[in-house]
Amino acid sequence: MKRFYYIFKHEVLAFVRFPLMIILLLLCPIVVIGFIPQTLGHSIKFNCAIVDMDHSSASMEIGQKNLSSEHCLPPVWCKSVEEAMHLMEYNSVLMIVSIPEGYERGIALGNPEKITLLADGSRVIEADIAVPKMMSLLSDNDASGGIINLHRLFNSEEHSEQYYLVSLISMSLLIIAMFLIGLNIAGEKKHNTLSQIIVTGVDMRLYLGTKVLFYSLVVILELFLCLAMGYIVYDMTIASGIGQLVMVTYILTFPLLFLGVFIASVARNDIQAIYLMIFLMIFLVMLSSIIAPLANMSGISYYFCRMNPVNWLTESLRIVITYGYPLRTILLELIAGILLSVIFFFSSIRLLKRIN
Amino acid sequence: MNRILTISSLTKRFGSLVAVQDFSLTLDKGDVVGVFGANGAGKTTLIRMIIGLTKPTSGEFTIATGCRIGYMSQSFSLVGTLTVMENFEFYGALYNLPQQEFIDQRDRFITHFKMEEYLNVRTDRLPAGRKQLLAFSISRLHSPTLLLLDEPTSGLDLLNRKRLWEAVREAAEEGIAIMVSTHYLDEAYYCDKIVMMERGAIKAYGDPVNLANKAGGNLINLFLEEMR
Amino acid sequence: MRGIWTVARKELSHILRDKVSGLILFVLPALFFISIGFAISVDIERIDLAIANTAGPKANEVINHLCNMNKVSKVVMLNSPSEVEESFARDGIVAAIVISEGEGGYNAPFKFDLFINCSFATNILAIRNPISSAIKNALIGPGNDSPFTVRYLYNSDLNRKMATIPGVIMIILIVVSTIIFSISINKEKVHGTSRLLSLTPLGPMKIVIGKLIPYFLISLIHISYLIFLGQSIFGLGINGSFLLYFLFCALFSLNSMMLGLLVGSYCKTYEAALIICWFFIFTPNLFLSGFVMPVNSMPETMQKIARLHNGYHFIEGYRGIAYKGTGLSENLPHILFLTIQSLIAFIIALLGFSRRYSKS
Repeated sequence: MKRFYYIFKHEVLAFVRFPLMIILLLLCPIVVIGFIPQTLGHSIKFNCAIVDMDHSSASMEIGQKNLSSEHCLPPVWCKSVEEAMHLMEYNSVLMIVSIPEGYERGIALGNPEKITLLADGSRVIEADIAVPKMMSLLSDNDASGGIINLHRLFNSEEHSEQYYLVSLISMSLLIIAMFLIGLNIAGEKKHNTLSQIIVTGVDMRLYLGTKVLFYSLVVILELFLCLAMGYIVYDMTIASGIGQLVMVTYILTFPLLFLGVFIASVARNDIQAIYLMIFLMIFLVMLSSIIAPLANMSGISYYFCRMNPVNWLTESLRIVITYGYPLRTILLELIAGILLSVIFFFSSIRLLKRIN
Repeated sequence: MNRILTISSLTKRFGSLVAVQDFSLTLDKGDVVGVFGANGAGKTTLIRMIIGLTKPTSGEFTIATGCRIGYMSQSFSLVGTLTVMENFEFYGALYNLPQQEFIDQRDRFITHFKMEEYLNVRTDRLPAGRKQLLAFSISRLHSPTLLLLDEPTSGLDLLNRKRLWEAVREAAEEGIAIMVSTHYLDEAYYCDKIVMMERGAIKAYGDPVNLANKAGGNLINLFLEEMR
Repeated sequence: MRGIWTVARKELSHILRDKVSGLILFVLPALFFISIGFAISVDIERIDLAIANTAGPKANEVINHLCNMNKVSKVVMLNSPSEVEESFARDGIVAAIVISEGEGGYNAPFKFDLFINCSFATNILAIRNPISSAIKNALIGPGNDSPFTVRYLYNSDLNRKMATIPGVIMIILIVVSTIIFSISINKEKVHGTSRLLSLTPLGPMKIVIGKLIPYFLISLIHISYLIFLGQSIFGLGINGSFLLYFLFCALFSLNSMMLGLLVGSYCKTYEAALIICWFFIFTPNLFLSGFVMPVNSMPETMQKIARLHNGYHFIEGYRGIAYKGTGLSENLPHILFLTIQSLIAFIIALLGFSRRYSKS
């Protein structure tokens, strides 16, 4: 117990006296939660060029529809498709609506000429979202209507940044968990403090366990900072109880902490540890459901994502914060998190002692 | 029982590189053995094997039953962000010392090495000489019977080196067996026995005065011969 | 020149002799490119669907069409509509459809309620449209003729990889050129070798250029094999001038290195350099460049901020040159921005170096 207390105390003192750690702790909520969600998931207002070859009231009506639509910026009227294409090359317009000659006459005869919609496919996401909206706008017809009633769950008002918040909280916790403990252990190896500690005969399980326990509390502190930032800036609330949230975060952060330890153990020096942490972190963030949902992944990436502890953390946080479902829905993730923690824990001990 | 450490034919290979070759030595209570050699002679590897940080390739060593080992590394192995007092407390707890014993030992070293004014100073801000004495105190905190010091005087001035060796001799007088690795040949005369290592093997072993006589009156001749 | 080459050679040997660092610098970016390129997609690759049918056996044909839809990987049959919400968590579905009795008559035998998990602000249409088509095909044959034709220019198949590949390249170049280079610069200061360098007659500019060369060469190697991988694995060629494309990527790499140099020359420790690069260069570029979300979808203020980031200009320029085949004139604003930003970062970094070396 006494050893536990002094190891814990050592970690607390080392942490508070290393200002960078405090800065890192504060930067995460401010940059990742306070700032980044502002960029995510708002609806696009697209810009288009209209090439009117018909010069009729029907073609003017198309322009009017664009002007009055909440999805469109005022269109640019071009004399020719070439002129409009030139604008597209300069990224000034996303789409070109080309109204052919005889369009209005065709409508009167009941056999309208086809309007051509040219979309900038190189701006894939925007084109994907904007084209159907433009088509709906031009045809006065919600393409989903008629036979399907559409219900938008969990995001009825398109406040999209709130729904990325959970992903970003998960990303913040990952950064804190891996960087802090990884840099700490890499530093101990560098200054040879670890050799001295091994010589004292202290059980490495106790030593490492206490260290990880301390940093797990730091992660919980970070969680609260992120939640506070989310609440202040975006009125984010938690659907389940705070106790459930803390428990889920606590359990699912342990694999990440032990992963940080594992990396620091594997690396031969602190620079290697930093390099490994950077690349691994990017892999874990990208191959989880932080940036893109699981449904967007194909092939082996999908299965990697399912095995990725960051994905478990993200999905579990989503269930607790956004959906408010009971914990039994993430029982598998919790068990997997505990198992992975145990594996990394014992591997790290062996590596830190590095008997060869 | 006087015999503290027995090393028999200890060898360590890293691939094709032989770091320590067929090393044998005994250490009794109160002995001070100096291990000398050029950089890369195998001194640190030898010490790391005895501590248990590196596994030998072959050979063996035995440490007397109930023996406690103290260690001081080249880089002092102190926790930089903790103060002097906090380092004592931290390592005292890791050694699992009973409270009274810890307080007695700690106060003894603080007084002896005149560390009173540095107690609340972070160790990363201490001058090298003070760090060295602190590291030495910590290695002795748990009253070890075997002390392994890896180049403890590296980078220190003459006065601080003398101070440390006086502390080493005092420890030896208390019955602690001590193995010290060092570059400085003038420190050989603080030792009861010296071992000269060359490419992992023992080049010379014995009393420093006798060895010096054999080498034409100066140990440096032995060292230079080794270098050649 | 000799002095510069000496410093460059020393840096290169640092990189090549540390096997793990070499592995990280050369192999990992390729692995990263391939795996992330497959992973990040704006397309919905799998639709895990739940169906609750209260209309009886007459809905079986509709259900068959839904089950045989393209990209449907899992279909969960629910016992009742009340299970829909729980199914989202329990079964990990993205959409659920409830088929119930319609208003009656031939034209409306069923009522369909489609529930989509919008917690990502997912491209709902990519889920809704195939379901709508499947239902239409089951009920009344092919859909109505639309009076529109839509063509996707520069990407006629609307290949979604085109959205992600420039972003992945940007990430790789930022990590190697900014973060790793910045730590390398800072290492000299931490280990004290900068003092030794300051005693040589080289001067700060030559030292910096010497250190820059190996990392620049490494980034050129990355750019080369990423082009090859993009072509061979994802089928993405370069429609514009190859030379312009290569030089543009090289310019971005140099720009990233200048930012890394700036950070590394002023930070006291490499942990500090890492944190600053991560939070002020990497993370903002990840989200503000247009890689994750289009810049045009951001609020006005954020759009202005996005346009101050080198990642934004890289992605815009990349799309123009690689996809649209545009030339120098169309991409001049992006080229100018990257150049000017590089020069400013270089000058400020050099001032920091000069100050540090004169203090040493």
